[in-house]
Amino acid sequence: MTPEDWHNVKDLFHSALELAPAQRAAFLDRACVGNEVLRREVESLLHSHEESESFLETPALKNTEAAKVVVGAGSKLQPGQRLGHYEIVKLAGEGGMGAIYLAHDTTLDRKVALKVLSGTFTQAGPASMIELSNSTER
Amino acid sequence: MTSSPQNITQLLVQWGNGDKEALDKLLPIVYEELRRQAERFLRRERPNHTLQPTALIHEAYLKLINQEHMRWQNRAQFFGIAAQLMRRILVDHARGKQAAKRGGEDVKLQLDEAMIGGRQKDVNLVTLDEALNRLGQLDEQQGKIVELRYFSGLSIDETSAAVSISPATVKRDWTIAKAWLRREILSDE
Repeated sequence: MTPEDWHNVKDLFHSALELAPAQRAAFLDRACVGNEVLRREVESLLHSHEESESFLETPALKNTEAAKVVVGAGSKLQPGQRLGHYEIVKLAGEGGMGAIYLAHDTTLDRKVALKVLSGTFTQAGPASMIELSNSTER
Repeated sequence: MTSSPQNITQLLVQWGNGDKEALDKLLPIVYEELRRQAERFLRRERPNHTLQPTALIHEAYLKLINQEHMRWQNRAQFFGIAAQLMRRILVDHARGKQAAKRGGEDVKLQLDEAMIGGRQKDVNLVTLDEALNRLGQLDEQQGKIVELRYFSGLSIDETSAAVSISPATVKRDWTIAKAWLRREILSDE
C-alpha cells in the first residue's frame, strides 16, 4: 500500500465510523465502486477496531518487571549465554559503552576476546560485536 | 562526556535543528538517568505501587534539564527520545528472551517472558516492534504517536503537544493505528 492509498483508507475508515454500523456497508458500496481492494482493507480495519478498544491502552512500562528491564538493560551478558556462534565464558573488562568478554567461538572451537557494544545506544539495534583477537587459551 | 543541564538543553536544541550527532550524544545520557530513576522506583517499591512511565520520564527530565532555559518544544523532544529509548530497551530485552528460548534453554521459565504489559492481554513486543516499523513507513506521524502513547505513556493531550497536532487528530490516528497494528500482529502469529 502506498501512502496515498493509506490516506484514502484513513478517510473512509473515519467516515464509516461516524455512521451507524448498519449504514456502513452501503456507504462503502458507494465510496469504493470499482476498488474492491480498498473496500476490503477498510472493512478489515473496521472489524479489527471492534476488538481493539483496550489494545495498547496500558503503556508498556506499567509494571515492576519492566522497571527491572530498564535497570538491567545496560548490564552484562551471563556466562553460557550465546551470541551468534560465540558462547560467553566470562566478563573480561568494561568501559565506555561496551564490554569485553572472553568467549568461545563454537565454529572454530577456540577462545576469543569479544567486544560487545551495547545495542541500546546504536542505531543498528541489537548488540553489535567485534572479535578483537583469538586469545592464548585454546 | 559532560552532561550538565546546560549542555543537555543545548543538545536538545541542536537535535531539534536536525543535528543527528546531538541525538547520539543524548541517548546514553537520557538512558543513564532513566535507569537511575527506575532503580529508585524499585527501591521504594511497595505492593500496589504501579510504575507510570510518564512519571519516570518526568523525573529524569527534571533532573537533566535546566528548566529556566527550556521551551515546551524541548520538553516534547525529550519525551520523544525517552519513548525511542524505552522501545529499544524493552524490545531488545524481549528479543533476547526469544533467542534464548530458541536455543532450547529453560523452555518452561522462558514461557511468556517475551511479553511485557499490563493486565490486558499481553502484547508480544518483538512482533509489535516489527509491525510498528511497517506502520512508520506507511505513516510516520502515526508511528510516532504510538511510540509516545505506548512506550512513553503520554495521554492524548500530551501527545498532541509533543507532535504539534490537534488532540482530535491524535485521537483519530491512534484509533486507526491500533486497529491496523492489532490486525497485523494477529496475522503474524
